[in-house]
This record gives sequence, C-alpha cells and structure tokens, in this order.
Amino acid sequence: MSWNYNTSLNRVEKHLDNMGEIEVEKLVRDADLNSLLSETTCRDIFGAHVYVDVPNFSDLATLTSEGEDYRRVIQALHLYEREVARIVEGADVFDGVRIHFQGAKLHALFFRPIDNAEEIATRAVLLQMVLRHFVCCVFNPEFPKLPNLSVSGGADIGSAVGTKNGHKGDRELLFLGAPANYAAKILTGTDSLRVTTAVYEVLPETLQDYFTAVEDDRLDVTVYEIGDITTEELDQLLSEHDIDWDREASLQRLKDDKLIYPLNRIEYSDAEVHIDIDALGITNNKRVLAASVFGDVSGFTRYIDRTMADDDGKAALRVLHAVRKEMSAIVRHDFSGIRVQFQGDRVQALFHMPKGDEKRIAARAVDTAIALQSTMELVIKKLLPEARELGMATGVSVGTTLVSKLGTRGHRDRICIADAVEEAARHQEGSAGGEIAVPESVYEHLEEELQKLFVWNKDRGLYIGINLTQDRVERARKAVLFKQPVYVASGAAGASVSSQPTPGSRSFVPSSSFGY
Amino acid sequence: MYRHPRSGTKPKSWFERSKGQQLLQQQQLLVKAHYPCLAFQVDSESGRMLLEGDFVLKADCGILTTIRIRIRFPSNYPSSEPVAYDVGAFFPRDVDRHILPSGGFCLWLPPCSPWDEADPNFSLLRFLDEVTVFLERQLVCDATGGKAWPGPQYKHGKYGYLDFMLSILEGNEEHLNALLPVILGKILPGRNEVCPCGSQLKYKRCHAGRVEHIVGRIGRDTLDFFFKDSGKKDNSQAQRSLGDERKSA
Repeated sequence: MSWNYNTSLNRVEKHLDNMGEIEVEKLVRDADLNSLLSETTCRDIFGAHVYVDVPNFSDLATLTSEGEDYRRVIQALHLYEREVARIVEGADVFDGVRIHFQGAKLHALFFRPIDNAEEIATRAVLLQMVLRHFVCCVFNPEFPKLPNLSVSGGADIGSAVGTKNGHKGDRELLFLGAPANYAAKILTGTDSLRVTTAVYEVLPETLQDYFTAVEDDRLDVTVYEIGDITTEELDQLLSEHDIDWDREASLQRLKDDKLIYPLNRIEYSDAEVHIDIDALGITNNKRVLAASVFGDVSGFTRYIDRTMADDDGKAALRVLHAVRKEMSAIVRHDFSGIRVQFQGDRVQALFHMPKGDEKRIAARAVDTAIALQSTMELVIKKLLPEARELGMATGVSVGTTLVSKLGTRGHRDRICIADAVEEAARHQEGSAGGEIAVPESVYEHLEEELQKLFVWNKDRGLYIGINLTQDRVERARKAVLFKQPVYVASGAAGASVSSQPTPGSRSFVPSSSFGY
Repeated sequence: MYRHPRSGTKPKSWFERSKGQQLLQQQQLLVKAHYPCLAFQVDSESGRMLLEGDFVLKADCGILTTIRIRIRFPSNYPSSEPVAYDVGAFFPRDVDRHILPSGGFCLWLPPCSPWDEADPNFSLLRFLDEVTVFLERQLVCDATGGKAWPGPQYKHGKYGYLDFMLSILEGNEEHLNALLPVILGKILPGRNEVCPCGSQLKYKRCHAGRVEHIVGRIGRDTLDFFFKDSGKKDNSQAQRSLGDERKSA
C-alpha cells in the first residue's frame, strides 16, 4: 500500500493519451448541464454559485449518542437534503442546478435566464432566504428534538468553467473559477447569509435594502449580509420574482418522507468490511472511525481564470482532469480509500478500517497526503510544465464519521459528516501549496521519523509538513540505517541502498565519514 | 635491467604501463556492469585518469536522483585510493557534511579505509558502493533538514584521529592520555619497561602492539601534521587539554 513514481507517471500519461480534444465554449443558450457537460465538453457559464450549510449537522453526527437520537439525526439529514434538492431544482420554484451536497452543505448554481445578471443574482439571494426560512419555520418544528439549527449561506456571481468527471456511474458536475470558490469562502459557519460585492451590485434596489456591508477579515474584502426578514416580506419578494415556493407543500413532503422512512427503517452500523459507499442509502448508513483527507490544487482558480481570459482554458482543463484522475487513483488504488467526491479542483477522501485502528488509519491518511504532494510535484509538473505554478494543499483529521449516500433517486451524493470532516477541510483551506496540515490527534500516531518532518505551527495549532514528497519521506526513514550493514544494488536502473538484501546486492557496514 | 628514464621524459602513468592497462580493462568492464553511467577518461590537463559520470540513486518509490560525480585516480594507483568529487555542486560544500570546499568527499578516516591495493577490482567496487552510500546519506541529510549527519562519523581533523586511537584502545580515555606521548613519538619506552598505561605489565606485553598498529595505520607524517604542537613543553598538560578539546569538538 504505497505510492510509486513509475505507476503514477504511467497512469497520468495514459490519462493524457486517452483524453479527447477539450472544447470550451461560452454557454449561450439554456441547456441541461448534466446532459451537456462532459470531461471534454466544457462550458464557460455565467452564473451565481450558492452555498448553504446547516453546520449543526456535523456536530450532531459527531456528538449524538448512539441509538434512536442518532437515527433521528440521519433521518433529518436525509429528509433535509431531499427537500432542499426539490426546492432548488423545481422548475416552478428556483429552477436551479443542485451541483451536490458536501456533507450538509449545498452547492447550487443559477444560470437562467442566460446572462441576465440581475435575475440570476436575485435567485441566489432568494434561495438563501427561503432555505433559512425553511429550516427555521418548517424543518426544525418537524424535528423538535433537534436543537435550533442555524443556516450559513454565501453567493458569488461571474463566469466559471463547467465540466464533469468522466467515470461511469460516478459522474459529478465540476465548476472551476472564482465565483464557485468565493461563494464557499465567504461562508461563516454561523447563522449568516452573505453575498459578494459582485452579487450585491447587480441586485434590484428592492433587495439591496435588506443588506448591510460587513468586512470579512479572513479574506480582507467587503461582503454584504442579509438582515432579518419577515415571512410577509419573504412572500412578497418571492411573488415579485415569480418564485413559486409553497411552504405547506414542503411541509407535506417532509411528513410524507417521514412516513416512508420512519425511524425504525433508518439503520446504521460500524463497518465490518470495507465500506462500499455506493451501496449505502437512507436505510443503510455507516458510523465509523475514519480519517478525512482534503487535497486541493492550490492556485488552480487563479490559473484557470487567467487562461480563460486569454482564451486558452483548454490547457488548464487538461491539467485539471489529469490531476483529478490521478488524485482519485491514488486514493482508491494506492491506498484503498474512498474517493468521496470532487469539489471543483479538490478531492475529498475517507479512510477507515473495519477494526477501527486509529493509528493505521491516521498513518494511511498522511501517506495519501504525501502521495498527492508527490504526484503534483514530481509527475504532473514533469508531464505538464504549464502546471508549474500549481501546488497541492492537504488537510487531514480523524474522528467518528457518518458515511452515507443521500438524495433523490438517480441523483444521490456520497456524504461524510463529522466534525473531523469539517476540520480536515479547514486545515486544507488554511494551507498553502506544498503544505500538509495535521492536528495533534493525527500527528501522535505517526512514526517517529515521519513526525520529525512536521513542524508545530503555534498560530494554527497544527503540525505542518512542507514539500513532503515520497522520496524525502523514505529517506527520512533511512536515517537510522547506516549503523548496520547495508545492501547496495546497482546497474542500468540506478543504484539503491537498503537494509534488506536484494538480488545481486552487496553488503557492508558503511564507513564512518570523516571531516578532514 | 633497470634503466633511468631519459631526462625530460615524463614518467608513465599507471594506466600506461602494461599491468595498468590490463587493470584498466578489467575495471572498465566492472564499471560498465555495476555503474554504467560512469566512464573512464584521461584528464587532458593533468594527464590523470578520471572516472566521471552520473550516480543515479533510486528511491524505493522509483524516483531517480542523478548526481554528477568525478573520481580522480592517483598516479600511484592502485597503491593509493581514488578520491570522489561532487562536480555539479549538488550538495553544499560543508565540512559538517563531509564535503571539502573542493567538492571532495571525506568517505572515511584514512586509517579506517577499506581500500585494499592487493585486490583493486574488489576495492574499486567497494569504493563506488561507499560513494553510493555517502550520496544516499547526503540525500537523507537533506530530507531531515540538512543539519544532522545520518549514521556514524568521526570528528573533524585531529579529533577524528583521537577517536580512532580511542577505538583501538577500547574506549579507555586514561590509556589514551597515558599513551598519546608514546604514539606521537615524544616518549619512547623500552619494550621491557613498565607500560605507561599504569598496568605494571611490561610495555611489550601490554600496549606495544596497539601503539604500533595506531602509528602504522595513521602514519608518522599524518601524526606530525595534526599533532605537531602537542606535548612540546608539558606532555601531561597537553594531554589533558587534548582530551578536553576532543570532548568539546
């Protein structure tokens, strides 16, 4: 279970050889993006990207004690996402695109009417308002045993490139560009709905009145926060903008779903064998000790935005698909992990073991992070020199995680929910290219020689490994090798030094070096 | 019949003599089999034989690291061993990493050299393997922050030689202090006199053999070079100060 340079090199070369001619055009007419987009058929889509999260679900999945309460959390999560998907995609409602759920976090896109910035931005704002109202006034009362849920939202508008990963039966829409990124970045994780200046500026004045400007210290930008709004005001706004959301119908669908999926049908268990995430669903969930890994191609948003401005997005997409496929191969084939989902240019992975061996789980997650870093630095940059400005930023965390696949038939998302998942994502988001960020709980499980390669960052409260490639890690492990006999093998393929005999190797105790 | 070389005629290098040519042919085959990226060539300036090319170090994960190396053969090869240089300045020229300012490698303390002039083919392969291990240790040093040298090492300069003496004297520092003037030739005890180590045994039955071994391995010239100021006035004081310095070096 390890990463190998030649295997990775061959895989990426094969990905590149088999990749068809990439076509990137501006989307000029309405289309079903799920049918239109593919790995090679990409579109530059002007739209508003919206993220809406209910952060409580991570805490609930982590802290709720096992039994009926835990089943209720699972039931609530499933039903929440089913209804939210209907609200987003309903032709009479928001007529948007539900890209996916990242745990309990919705990523949606509005691009209709084509190039109509005001209308698109309006929908992005109204969706946030509706979902906050839905959670507070419809969903929460239907689940009175849950705590008061908060809603965190963010939206940005602009052009992003839409594409799709090409794996059969495992296809996901991917969006690359600043708006897809910023909409997520302005989320606070607390009860607030925000939009970027770009969204605010194209809103009709009647909507702008509901916003106040605030400074986002993390990003050093001004964003606009939606203030309180009454039910009457919301209904008025929905009516003005032809959004036909019926809260009574939403409530009825929730009640119907509760009858179809009562608590006694919701099951969860630990994993006795390796999880097949695609076999999971509302009645079959897993609660496992697992490590989450997020690997992000840092600098990619800037790279694709610049290449798109120069009318040369094809090269960037070629890089993306090569990196993406290789990240997936590393997770699944090299380290037997679960590739949960792609989120634009980042991959989310999960590692568990049937017996819940935390030490081995943590070590494997960190080995995977090192492999992702190695591929970016040694393989991708060798084969695709145009990727030289990119890096790999990785975050890791371990904890009890709810694993499932949820949504509506034919459109279900793999989800992993836990505080550990959110932590791993945060650790990655705070990391620059070349960094692997791990908390103390992961660090303490690493072997001593590997620990020495991580440096404690007091400000972040994390251990950071910088530019850790597989060869460097292997060599760090060899630091204790030279006091005993070593085996040297050499020939046309190069020379190697190891502690174990290999065919044709010569053994001796290395001389003690001397400084003249 | 021995003939004096004609005046003004340059003496033949080892590889120009018939025995040397035979050795060179054997070693070319040896290098081709084990280190095929290296090739023998004559340095046009010095007229010395060089072995130059790439050492390609392979990590277990398959990543190759290529390091340009030049190995210079002495004119009296194989009586003396060759010297390896990092010609591409791949590593810092840092004496703490056992690389001299010239790029030359300090593979071992000279008296501990595994070089065996009686078996030059075995010795050259061992030499190249030791260079491989030395380069691997450099890469390990880089991987771990470039500060700590991995594996055993001798201290710099005369302190390395003192460590060597100590290892022959089984780590007994008192014996080293007592015998150092003898090793340095400042005191010449008779073989039937009491050994300076204080054992009350005759010198010939006590440390005479080890002292001869140390002097033979290091060589009188090297001892004079490194310890020329030791014990000139007051041996006992010099010995104490040497011991203290060695500890702090």
